[in-house]
Amino acid sequence: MGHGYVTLVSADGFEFVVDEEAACVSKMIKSMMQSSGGFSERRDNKITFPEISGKILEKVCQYFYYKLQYTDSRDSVPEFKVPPELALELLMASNYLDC
Amino acid sequence: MYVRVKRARTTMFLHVEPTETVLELKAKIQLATDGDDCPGGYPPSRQKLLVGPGWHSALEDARQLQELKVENDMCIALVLLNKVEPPEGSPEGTEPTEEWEEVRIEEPGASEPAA
Repeated sequence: MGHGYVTLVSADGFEFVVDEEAACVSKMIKSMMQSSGGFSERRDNKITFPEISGKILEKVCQYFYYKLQYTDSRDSVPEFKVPPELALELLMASNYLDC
Repeated sequence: MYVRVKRARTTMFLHVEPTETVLELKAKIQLATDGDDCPGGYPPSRQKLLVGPGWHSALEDARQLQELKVENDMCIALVLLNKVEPPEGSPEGTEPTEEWEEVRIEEPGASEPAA
């Protein structure tokens, strides 16, 4: 994987390549990437989430970029839209990822 | 803003400016795809980016993203130029041809209810 990027892999095998900066919106991923060695995740910059489906993980990545874009922004912040049928799973994922 | 570049089961989230050209976006894709399974990444000349219904319109290298109405969070399909080996039985010395792969994007299905 390219420098400065990290690949997040969902339970059903979908891969999402995101900026490290974006992925670090998740405090859980951030601490994983900062820990010095031990994690195989650090070496190939690929993190698998056996409990998160591709549909949810894509929404999570969209949230990372939304958050980066509008944190400290003076412009009006649009609402981050979540389809009601994803709400519960997304809540569980955000709890797990700490974001 | 960012765009989502999709091919098969992979989605790349890439930061872009509306004033950037398509070629600059392709250079970012090359950087993001550089890794063990593809040293050096996909060169821009072997990438084609498609948008619109049925992914029918290709983005031209020299145009700016804003001219092409590329917006935040938009999905863009990536296809690659592949080498096709000549079929068996071809006369010796037949050069491999190159052709663009078909658009192939797998979307995550309806999510399973949480256990």
